[in-house]
Amino acid sequence: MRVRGGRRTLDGVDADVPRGGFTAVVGPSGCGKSTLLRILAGLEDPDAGRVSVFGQSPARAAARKAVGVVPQDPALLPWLSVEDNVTLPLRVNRAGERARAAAGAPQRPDPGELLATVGLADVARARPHELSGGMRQRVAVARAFALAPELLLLDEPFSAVDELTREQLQVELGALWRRWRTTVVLVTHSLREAVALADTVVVLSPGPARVIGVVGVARVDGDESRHRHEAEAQVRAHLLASA
Amino acid sequence: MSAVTRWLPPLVAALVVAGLWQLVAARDPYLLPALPAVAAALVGDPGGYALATATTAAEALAGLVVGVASGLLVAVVVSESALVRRAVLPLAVVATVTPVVAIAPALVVALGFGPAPKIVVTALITAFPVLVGAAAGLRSAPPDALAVLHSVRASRWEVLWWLRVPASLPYVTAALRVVFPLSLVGAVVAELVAAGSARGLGTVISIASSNAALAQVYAAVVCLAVLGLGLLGSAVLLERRVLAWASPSSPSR
Repeated sequence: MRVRGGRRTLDGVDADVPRGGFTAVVGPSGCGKSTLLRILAGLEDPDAGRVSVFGQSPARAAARKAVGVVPQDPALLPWLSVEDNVTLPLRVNRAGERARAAAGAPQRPDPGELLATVGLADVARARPHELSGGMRQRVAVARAFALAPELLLLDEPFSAVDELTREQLQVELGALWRRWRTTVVLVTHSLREAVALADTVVVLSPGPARVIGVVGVARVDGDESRHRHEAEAQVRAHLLASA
Repeated sequence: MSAVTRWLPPLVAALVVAGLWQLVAARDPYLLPALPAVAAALVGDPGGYALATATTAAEALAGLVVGVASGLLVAVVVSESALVRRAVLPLAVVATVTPVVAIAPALVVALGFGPAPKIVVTALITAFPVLVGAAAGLRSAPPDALAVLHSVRASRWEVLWWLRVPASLPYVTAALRVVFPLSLVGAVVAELVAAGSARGLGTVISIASSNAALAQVYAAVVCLAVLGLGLLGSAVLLERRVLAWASPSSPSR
């Protein structure tokens, strides 16, 4: 539960996110999706209830650099090159690095290889203002994956780019997830994006948010697009029922 | 933009002003001195004006260094502590709206006729715009970038070093563009109040005014204008160097 300015923004959000899974969170605007993500990232504390990230509090998980964040705005630092932006989270919080090593965390991907994966190897030394909006968002995704996080949180990361770029970014994100198998929680207002990427879609009610549905998206045996359409229809039905 | 369209308008404007000036000077030389007389004053004692310019420049630069350094230091402290911010910023606003030059005579009484009161007045005049600009800049870091650094538990100093300080640079350089030329006001006013042993441009103006030697007064003013342009140019060059990463369309450029 989260109370902000006297208004309850989350109430009864009870859900499990499987390790290594890709979970999308959808819900009406202002229902508290981003607040939920900030709580998972340890950036805000819930007033009540319990949030656990692999058995630890979000703050402890963040302290050992186990959580990567991709905000809505790429939030690149314009005074750093693309490569330095990607490696910045690795350079801060040395104690977290030691805690991560002590916990036997997996080896991190090579930043150069990551940039190549998202098609940005040629602009590694460029400044963010020299890139298009889609390229900047790719850098933000690469920055989060550079941490090799156990949990990756994405807050409507592709909402500001055009449809074509958005689809390309979704494909790249899916490829990175399959390659590194990190646990992903994606907040999005696009039902199509949710069912295209996630294997589980958590549907929230209008604020104060409650979980009103959990929809699985089958990715095996045969007609994947039919499964997606069915899942999208189920998510839509949950949202319409709660409206 | 061609050289002609760039330089012609200011050249024409300068010629018009010079022509009007000469008209007034021809009617009443005690209102404005003739421009050739001002030029003659400069040419007649180039060493004296150069020395006076160097003296005033040294006082202004010393005050500028002290003022800018204190402004930046206090801005960092203020940005890191809400309590200190609430305590200090109202005082800074009061100090900014108070004409600091009014305390120049009191500083002369307190600190004597040496360079100290000139440096202190200049430092006081320049510190507060830098403090206010830098404090605003340090708090201007984008929330999403802060969230990324906080999500990996970057320390307060790491956030300051990697994010807040660079984010404040456009604000700081904008403040420097204001206070570089402003530093001359502090130095000259303090010289006018307390001529002292060092013969700066304020002292030259003070003595020449009391002798009704308007040509010498304006010759010193010409030196101040050149000095001011030099300081402004330095601030602009510094800004270009420091903000080389900024996009050409960014509002700070």
